[in-house]
Parts: sequence; structure tokens; C-alpha cells
Amino acid sequence: MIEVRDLRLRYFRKPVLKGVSFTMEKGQITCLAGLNGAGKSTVLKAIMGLVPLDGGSIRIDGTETALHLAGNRRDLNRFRVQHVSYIPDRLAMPPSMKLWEALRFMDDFYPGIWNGGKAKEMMTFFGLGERERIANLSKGNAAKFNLVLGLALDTPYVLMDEPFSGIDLFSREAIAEVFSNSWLEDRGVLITTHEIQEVEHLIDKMVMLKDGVVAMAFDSEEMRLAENKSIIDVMREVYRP
Amino acid sequence: MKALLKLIHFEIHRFRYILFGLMGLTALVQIGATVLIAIGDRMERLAEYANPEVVPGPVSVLEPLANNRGLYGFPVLICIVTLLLYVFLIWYREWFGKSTLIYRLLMLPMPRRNVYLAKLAALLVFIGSLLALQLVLLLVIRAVFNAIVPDEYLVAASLADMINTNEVFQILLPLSLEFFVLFYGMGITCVLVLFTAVLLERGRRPRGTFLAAAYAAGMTVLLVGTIVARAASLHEWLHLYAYEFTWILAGIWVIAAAFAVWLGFRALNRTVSV
Amino acid sequence: MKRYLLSILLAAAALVGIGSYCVYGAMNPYPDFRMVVREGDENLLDGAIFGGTLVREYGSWKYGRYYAEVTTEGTEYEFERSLFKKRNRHPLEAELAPDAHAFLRGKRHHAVNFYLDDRMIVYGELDTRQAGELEREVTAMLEMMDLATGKRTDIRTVLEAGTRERSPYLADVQRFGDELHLFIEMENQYRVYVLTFEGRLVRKVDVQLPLGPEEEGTHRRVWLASNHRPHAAKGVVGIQVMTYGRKTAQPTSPMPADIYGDEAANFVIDTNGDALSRVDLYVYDYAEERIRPVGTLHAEDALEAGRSISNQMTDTHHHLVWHDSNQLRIKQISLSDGSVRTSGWTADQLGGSIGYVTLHDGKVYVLAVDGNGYEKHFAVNIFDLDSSAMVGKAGIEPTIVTVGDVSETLYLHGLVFR
Repeated sequence: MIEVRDLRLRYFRKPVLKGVSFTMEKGQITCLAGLNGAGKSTVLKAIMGLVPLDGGSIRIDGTETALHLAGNRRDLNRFRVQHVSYIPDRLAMPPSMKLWEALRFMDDFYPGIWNGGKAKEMMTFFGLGERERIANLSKGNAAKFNLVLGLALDTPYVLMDEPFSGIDLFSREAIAEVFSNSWLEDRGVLITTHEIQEVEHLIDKMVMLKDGVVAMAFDSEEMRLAENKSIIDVMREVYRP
Repeated sequence: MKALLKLIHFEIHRFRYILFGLMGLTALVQIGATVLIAIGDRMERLAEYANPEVVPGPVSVLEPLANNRGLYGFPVLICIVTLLLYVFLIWYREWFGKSTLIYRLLMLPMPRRNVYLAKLAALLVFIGSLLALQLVLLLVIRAVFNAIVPDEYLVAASLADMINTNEVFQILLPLSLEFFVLFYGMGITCVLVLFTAVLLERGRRPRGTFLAAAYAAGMTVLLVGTIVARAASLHEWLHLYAYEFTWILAGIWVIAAAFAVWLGFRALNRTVSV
Repeated sequence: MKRYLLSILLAAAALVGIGSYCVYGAMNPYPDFRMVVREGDENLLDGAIFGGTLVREYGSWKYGRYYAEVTTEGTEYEFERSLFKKRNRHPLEAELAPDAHAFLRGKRHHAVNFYLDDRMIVYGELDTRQAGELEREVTAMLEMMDLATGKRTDIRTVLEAGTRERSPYLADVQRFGDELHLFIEMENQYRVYVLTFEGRLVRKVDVQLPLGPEEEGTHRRVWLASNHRPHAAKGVVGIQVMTYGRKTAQPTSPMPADIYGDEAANFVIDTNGDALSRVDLYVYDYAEERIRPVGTLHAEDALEAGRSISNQMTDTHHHLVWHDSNQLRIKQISLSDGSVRTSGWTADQLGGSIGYVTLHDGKVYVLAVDGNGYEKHFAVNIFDLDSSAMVGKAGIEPTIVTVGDVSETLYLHGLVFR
């Protein structure tokens, strides 16, 4: 379980996160929702230690990993990377690299975590050619390759930041398929997205950010059974002024 | 350890074209200049030889070196400026540009200080290999010159004398081991301070910019201050002998370097933001 | 592994290049000269530093001039001077026990301001402060250390409350019994201030030179004699009164003959264009607290009429030394009876034209250079001033180093003692 408690962050003088708390479990797909600028991306980056917080705690399987609390721990970075794979909204690889070189990079630097076999499977599934150069990839293909780089790491948790944003329809469908097959089995997934429709049926838990705090967090199944509301219904209630 | 070496290779590899460019430029300009001057010299001497009244004097490779200091020094200065720029760019390129590689570097399963160390090591390899190249070039220049100019006018020149022809060489390749360690120690300390300043600046705005500016200003005052103090013979006022004062000032630089590394690691672990 | 070839090669090149350079650089490719005492006592060259320039000559083309300092230990070139090693040794360190060396820290002035005997060491400085519109207050600041106990005492005493003098000069510090005597040049005359160890000013002695008016056509200059051991205990201070008359010969360039060539003897004249005609020697006697005349000598020839005169007073005699490239002459005045004795040597006797003369510790060191062109042999002849006897000879080894067409020659400019 990843437990996020009371995250606080101010950007210049403006508070972005004012005490965000929620949890995500292994084997579940949790969605972090919010209007533009609500801080969803920031929460993901904070969990990954890419953005320092003003306050709060982040526990991954019981171990504290917030930068300001545990930053001195010697193998903190390795621990975090071994447990969580973060897929940002852009490809973080040198554009001059070819795809096979990028795969080799991952293999080089993530021994024991990188699963080359799974990577090959995904490449075939997405139809990506290894000899292609990253700079020449279309937006859709870049997003797909980004997923390969992130999901081929055998980590119990996966964070995905806007995996569908700006992608063409067919690529979106291909990406959505990823959620139903074995590559995400038994893993805890935290996803932020605007395109709720694509994955509404897959989401197990919903966390809604509003005004820098968690306005609502609920199990989607329970919500449907108890109040007969779909996720989108709830979102309308929360975000309509 | 292996991971660190791989990362060092990664840093070296992505700079290779620029490095080769710098090496090529230096070799081309220095060897080319020597060839042209030597040929010109040879022609002159052969012409003089034909005239029995004129006895041409001896010449060594020191002559073109001493008379064309700017020409030989120019490519070296280009290298220095490029490397100086890269002290900043080696970090800033990870944030700006299409790839924002900083995400990838901060998420490698190794202590984050390895990223700092790898960039430092790569920079040292660049500097070292360019220095080695310059040494080799001096030998090549001498050989080329000696091959072109007719033997009867030729006089040997030692490497030490060749270095002493040009102030740029004198600073880069000082003839005393002590000055070598001193200059390069100071240079590396400056690189460390700059690295740390960049990492501080890359913390969350606005604190990052402010911290970096304060740190850079403070370190500049301190380090430049030691130079000024030594030049102004402050030791007399302190009742110290000059050499004792030098040891103390050197100690300050060492502490500054250690502090820079510590602060840089800390920034990388705690305050750096993508 | 093949992937990493580039990095491995570059790193190896860097290491090998720098490594071999450091090793090579550490091996000084320039010759190591050293001064050696060929005859006489080994410590005649203690603290001696010969400044010189190493010139490499390629055929007729001189290239590469490097300033070097040569001592009995070896040569230090300008580019290898270490910032981390102790350089200037205080001249008194040789005479002080190591735990007393700390007393020498931070003392700006050298030997003249010190007094050293087997009981104590004293250091003095004068401080001037504005005391009125045109007037100044002169304070003596003395530091004393008892050599047996190491106990230090500081004294601050106002010597003059209001004087026109802007820069008084402390010429000598002496101790007699429990009194300290400070010989000071102030307001164009000499004065001795006597202080107790507690810093109380006991008396002032005005030192008046018994000089009549200047003769027509002459003018006078008064110089204090320099002492062979300025810090030592002594009973007198030497005062030279030099009388200059109208010039009697052609003025020529005031440059001293140097060791590169042999110029005809010429003599330099006092700044007014006058030649030295007479030297009267007086001493101030600390015990009697008055001036005593000692003796007089007259300039006998062109050499003595001007030219750079060096002087040094020992415990028994006062010496005046003249030289040009062809000869060295010493005249000594006995302090006891004022008698004058002359001695001298020619260039031939000294083994070469005379280049540089240094007086140190009661001895005169004469640098003679034989030859021109590329052959330069140096000889240093050392004479005792009092006895005029030769006490030693020194030289430099090796003299010239020739490698192929390149010869490396060390041109010595002069000798100092540190």
C-alpha cells in the first residue's frame, strides 16, 4: 500500500496542496482526478521524490520515503525505484537514441528490475520498431513506448501521469487495453487522467482533488451499489460550482 | 560501482562529438600553423643559403611558438570556454530541451549522488584528455617542424621551453608539480561550487534561485577573498609567515570543496525539483 | 565491454598523459647549480643567496631567461618557487634557540631594531601620531623577552610629545645594566633616549657633532655607519661625515660595471655632481654619552672620489670599500687610534673582473667573473675586513652546461644574505 498523508506544497506564495491524504492498494487501479492545475501531476511527482514537499508523509509498504523526512537514507532512491515505476507525461530519454538503445539503457541501469521479455512482448503488442529513433516517433507511438519503459519494470506499484492526453483514438484504445491484460495484474496503479470515459469501467478507487485537498475518495463499486452513481455522476457533483 | 561507471560512460558518450570537435580544432590549428610557418621558414633559409654573404642563424620550434602565441593559444581558449559553458549545460540540459532527462536520472536505482559524481568524472575526463592531447600536440609540432626545416639550421628545444613560450601553456601545464595541483585543485573546487549552485537553483522556485544566488555570492567572496588576502600580504597583519598563511588558505579551499560536494548531494536528495 | 571503448580510451589517455607529465614536470629539466665553499669555513655561505638568470643559448640566439636563486643547497627557479614552504628566514633565527623563534613573528623591521645578548632580546619600533596642527607625538614600543625564562614584557613610552619630525628613524637599540638606550635620528640630528625596563624615560641625550661651517665650494652629508652585527651589544655608534667638493672629472653613466663586460673605470658622483674628498669618522660612545672623533681619511684618487662606497663597522675598525671592475680597495680606520690602513686587490688577483661586492658579518664577498662570450667562470673571494686576510673562496658548480647546441649559462647578478 502507498499511503499519502497531509501533503503540503506551495508554489511561490500560492498553496497547491493543502493537506492531501489518500491511500492506494496493490491489485487496484486508483484514479486521481481533479480540474486542471489541481496538483494531480504534482502528487505523483512527489510520491516519486521528484518534487520536494513543504510537509506531509509518503509511506510505501510501510517505509517513509518523503524527501524532507528520509532524504538522508542511503538507499532511499533505490528503494523507491524498486517499488514504484513512474510514467511521466513525456518520454524521458535522449531524442537521439534509437528505441533499442533506450531498451538497452533500461537493461543496463535497472538490473533485476527490468524485464526484457515483457518489454519485447509490449513492443510487439504496440507494433513498435526497435530501429526507430525516439525523435521521429509520432505522439501516439511515443506514448506507447513510454508505457513500455515504465511497465516493463517489475515493480509492485505504477504511477501514470495522463497516459491518454493528446493521443489519437486508436492509440488510446491500444493503451486502454493494457489495463485489462496481464501486464498490470496484481500491481497497484495510480493514474491521473482527464479522459475518465476510457477507463471508468476499470477504476477501482477514485480520489478527487479539489482546492488542494481530497474532496472525495471512494470505492467505485460501492458507490455504484450504494448510491447508484457512476463516477462521472459524482464528479459532476463535486466539481460543478 | 559498476552502475556509476556506466553512468560516467553515458555522460562521456553524449558529449563525444563536441569533444572530438574541440580536439580536431586544436590539432588542426596548431599543426597547421606549424606546417605553414615551417615551410615558410624553409623557403627563406634555402634562399638565404643561395646567398653566400648571408649566414642564416639557427632556429628551433620555439620561434614559431613564441612569435604566434595568439594563434597557438586560440584553440585552447575555445576549449576552455566550451568546457566552462558545459559546466552549466551538463546540468541544465537535463531540464531544458525535448527530453527532460532529469526524470530518468533521478529515478535510477542508485544513490542520487552518483549522478553528481558521474558528471564530475566526465568533465575531468574531458579536461584530462584535452590536456593529454595538448602534450602530444607539442611533441607532434616539434617533430613536424624539425622534419620540414633543413637539419643544418635546426636546434633542439625541450618540452619545458616550449611550454614557457606561451602564458596559456604555462598556466595549463605548469612546470612544477605543486602549481599543477594548486591550479587544478582550485579549478575543480570552482567546478564543484558551480555544480552545487546549479543544483540549488534547480530547487523549487523562488527559494531555489535565491539560495543559489546567495551561495554563489558567498563562495565567490570567500574564495576570491583568499586570493586577495594572499596578494595583499595579509599574513603580516596576522603575524603569520607567508607559507603558513598559504597553507591556511589552501585549507579553506579544501573545506569549500568538501562543503560544495556535501551541499550538492543534499540538494540532489532533498530539494531538487523537476 | 566494447561499448565502453571510447570512455576507457579517453580516461586512460587522460591518466597516462597527466601522470607522465606530472612525473616529467617534477623532474626539473633545468640544471641544478649550487654554491660550494672551495676554501675556508663551510658556514661562510650560511644564508647566502645568489640571484641569477639562466639563459639558454641556441647558437647565437639567446632564448629562455629564467630567474633563479642559487644557494649551497641547490637552485630554485622562479617557476618552481613553492608557496607552501618557508622562504625568508629571519637573520636572527640562527642565533636564537628554537623556542625563542616565536618572538620574531610579526616583527616588521630587521636587525637594527633588535638587541640580542645572552640574557635577553629586545625589539623596538617607533610610532608617530598627530598631536597638534603640525606636531606629532613619537612613541617607542618595545618588546623584551628574557631568554632564560621566556617571560615577555611590553613597553610603550612617549618619547616626544610635540615634535615636527614626521618619520623618526630608530638606528640602534642597546642595553646597559638595567637601562635601554635608543639611538634615534630625529629632526635632522641624533638623540639618545634612555629608558628603564619599566618604560620610564630617564633622560635624553642630544648628540651634537662638533662640525664647523661648510667650507666654500663643498657640502657635507652625514651617514650612520652600518654595523656588521646590528643587533649585537656594542658600545658605540659610528657616524660618517662625508665632504664633497666640486667635481674633478667627467661625469659618466652612473651604472655600476656589471659582470657582462668590462667598462672603463668611471666614477659616479654625488647627486650634486660633486666628488668625495674627505671622510671624517666619529663615534657616539654610549658609556660617556658623547661624541668622540676617531679619524679622517682623504680621497686619494678617482676611485675613492666617488663610486659606490660600501661601509661596515666591526668591533675594532670601520671599513670603507670601493670597487670598479678592475680593482677592489678597502680602507680601514682603527677605532682605537684612528689610524688608517689601505688594502686592495686587482681583478687579476681575484680571478676575473669584479662584478659584485657584498659586505656581510665583517667580511667582504667579491664576485669576480672571468671571460666573455659563453665561457663564464665565477669565483667568490671572501676576505675578513679587520685582518684583510682571505678567509675563503667559493664557486658555483657546474659552471656551464652544454647539451648539443644548447648551452645553459647562469648569469649571476648578485649576492644577498637572508
